[in-house]
Amino acid sequence: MKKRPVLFWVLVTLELCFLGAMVLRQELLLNSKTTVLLRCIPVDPRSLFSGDYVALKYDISSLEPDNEGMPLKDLDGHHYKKNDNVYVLLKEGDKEGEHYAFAYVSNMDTAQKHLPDGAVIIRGTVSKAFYPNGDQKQQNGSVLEVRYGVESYFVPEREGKRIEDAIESRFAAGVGAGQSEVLVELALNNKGISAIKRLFINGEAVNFK
Amino acid sequence: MLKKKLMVPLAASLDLWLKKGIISEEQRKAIAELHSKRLPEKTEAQLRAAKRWLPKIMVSMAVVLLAAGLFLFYASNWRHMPPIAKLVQVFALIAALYGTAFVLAHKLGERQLITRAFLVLGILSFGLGVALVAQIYHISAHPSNYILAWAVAALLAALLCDEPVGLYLSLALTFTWYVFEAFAYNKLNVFFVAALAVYAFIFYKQAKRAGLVAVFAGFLFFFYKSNFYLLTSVLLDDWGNVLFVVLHMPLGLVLVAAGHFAIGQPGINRPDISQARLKPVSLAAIWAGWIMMLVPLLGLSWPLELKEANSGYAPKALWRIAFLKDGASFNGMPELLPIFIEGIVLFTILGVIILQLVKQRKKHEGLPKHWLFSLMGAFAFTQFFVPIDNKAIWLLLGYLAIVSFVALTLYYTHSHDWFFYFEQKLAVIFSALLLFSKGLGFDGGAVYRNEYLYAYVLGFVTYSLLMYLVFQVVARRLAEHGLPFAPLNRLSFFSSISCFFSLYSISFKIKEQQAPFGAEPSLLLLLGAFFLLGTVLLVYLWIKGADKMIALFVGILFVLSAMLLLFAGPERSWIFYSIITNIILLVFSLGLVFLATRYASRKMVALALGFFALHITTRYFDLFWDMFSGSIMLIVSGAIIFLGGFLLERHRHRLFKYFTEAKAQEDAQ
Repeated sequence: MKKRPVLFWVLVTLELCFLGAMVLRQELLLNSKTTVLLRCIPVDPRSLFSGDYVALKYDISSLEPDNEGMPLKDLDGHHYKKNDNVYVLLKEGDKEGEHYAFAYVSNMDTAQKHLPDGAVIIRGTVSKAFYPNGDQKQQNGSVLEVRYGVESYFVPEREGKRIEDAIESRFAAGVGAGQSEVLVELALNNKGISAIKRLFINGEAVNFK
Repeated sequence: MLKKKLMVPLAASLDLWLKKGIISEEQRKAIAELHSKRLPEKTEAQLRAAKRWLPKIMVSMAVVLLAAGLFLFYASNWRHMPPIAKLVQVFALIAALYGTAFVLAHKLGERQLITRAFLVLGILSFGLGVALVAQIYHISAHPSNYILAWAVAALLAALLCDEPVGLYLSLALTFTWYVFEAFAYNKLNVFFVAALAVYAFIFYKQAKRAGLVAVFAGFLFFFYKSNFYLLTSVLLDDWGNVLFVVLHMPLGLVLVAAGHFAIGQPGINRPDISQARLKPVSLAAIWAGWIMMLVPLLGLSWPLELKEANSGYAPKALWRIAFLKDGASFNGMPELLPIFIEGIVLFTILGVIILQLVKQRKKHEGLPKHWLFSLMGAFAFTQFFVPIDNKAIWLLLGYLAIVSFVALTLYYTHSHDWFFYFEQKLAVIFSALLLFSKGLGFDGGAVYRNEYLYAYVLGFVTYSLLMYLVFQVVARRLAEHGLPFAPLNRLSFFSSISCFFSLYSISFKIKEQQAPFGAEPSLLLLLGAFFLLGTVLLVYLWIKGADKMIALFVGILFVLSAMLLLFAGPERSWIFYSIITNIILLVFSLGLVFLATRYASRKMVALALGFFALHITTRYFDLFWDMFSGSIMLIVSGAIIFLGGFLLERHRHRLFKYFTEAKAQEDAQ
């Protein structure tokens, strides 16, 4: 500190810049005009290491091609491995703003080629690739588990439980009357990177103030 | 503390002693003076030590409390703050902590504890800041990247301000980052090795011994994690596993040699400061190296059912990697490449070390001959090229390596001051381990394939005898150089025990046996090799003028065992086996009594007599149990055992007396 005061302050400035860059990157992402609403499915909400947060899992967290419930196309038949990037194509459904996946592909160029008007791309990373019979090609029954970097929603202490209950009750109530739904509004940039903007429970934005 | 407590009773005792006339007034004064002088000296030293420690403890406590307070403050007030306020505070906190450290360095001095404490808090606050930003923006993508960023920041701050705590924190963070990468993302980031090399350099320059040991542990962790990753995720055939086990031998040799080089041994002595700072890490490397060498010896010397994968053996696999690019059609062959590269690097380093040893030895006599390194390295290299499914070659190579390893390590660790005392002990422990573990293997074979009981058990008997001969040869070689071989008795003890109990176990009535020629070819090959090697060693001992009785004793046992094996077959009744094994047992225990008497070894005599007694008692019960009624049998037996025990004990006493007299005579001469 005494010997090299300039270098010391350069280092402190760099550390602050690093944090600043983290903030700036997220702010830019959140100000992006492209936003989508994604539906959540319930998962274990607490983790020891991350303080109090809700672990979010989306309908698009597991990709299964040609599934009856979610008709999904594998555009290039790529053999995915753990940590591979996957680009998922989303388009708006019947409800306003709410998006669902209709195809996925292993690279950005092909994704953009197949992108219809009004559709958007979200980038994810494969955390588990399951191919029945060890087959090299995608087929019925093969599943990709994907993380998008937006799986945690940090909340003030004890508030996590409320959100978790809301997610659970959607399923406990069964399909039909009285079910609560959890939707996440994501901001996306042109590379498909996403950030959480807001969280909605039964159509209402969660506000902790 | 203890001294202070003692003072009062001492003063009281002095008065008492004076009253009783035990000491004079002068003596009382002298004793009291002596103690009053000594005590303050020690107390002052203790106080000084306490003075040094007290501020450290207090400041450390303050740092912990402050940090905990900060975390608690943020945890409880977080929800009431708007995001922008949170961000401003995070930035301000980092700047304030570093700023305070900077101001304190100029006001109070850079090495002051309080300055250091604020610096460490500054380093910690950066990590806190990263975590808080991630929380505000709900970032969950690849958190290990942020740990790495924190590690780099901590390293730079530590280097810039010469702060060891930051250095260790940074290493711990890098390690955490790698564990995260390896276990959460299953990634093998080679950057970790480069980072470790940087830490090694820094710790070496700053003479941080603990840091160097930690870096070495990191290297070992990387070696195992990367290989386990390959074996469990990529290479699923036997060949990858085998290669990984094989590589332990060159790595172990390199570590042992590197450890000795770094520490500075006779012949390669480098009287500079590096020796002291490298000592703990070198010792760690030597320990790890020896244990690693055991891995292929213990792991691959079994009749393993290894399947030939597409890979086959090294040259074939290398050819495929070089000329066929399409890995998919060859079961992911290119993924073998990392293990090959590890192998090539290790063998190259080993080659350089051996060349260096040869070169240095020409100048200095203190260096060991390079046989240990060359032969064991050659063994591992040969294994690299063995076809995976050839059980016989694996077994033969494994046992040859075991015998050479035992002989070479025992000999070199006892003949060169290049090796440490603990390496002598390790050599003895490893020899015992390699003896007994193989006993389990042979016995397991005998239980599993009962119709070849004799082949398996006698296989172990010949192996034990072979080891016994190896110990004798080592002792002989050392004696030629006028050096003692202290563990000889203990090692002979071990091989005698394994030999006796194996023979004993087959001296009962057993089920019909098959001719050993029908047994597995690998077992027969092994037996042949034992006999051949044993004969070579016997001839060597005979020629070199060792005690002919030892050679004769082992020779007779060899011949009897071979006879039993040759004549075994389904046409023989159990009586045939029983007679021969009992003859061998008798020859063994009586021969042992004779040898032990000759070498005046009390323990050996006791052991041999014990063997003899156990053998006779067992046969006695075998023979008469069905012939007499229970009570008469027990009474007669008791009487006989009493008498036999008395006679044996008298004989043992006579022998011991004879030993003592002989020793006294020898001493007198």
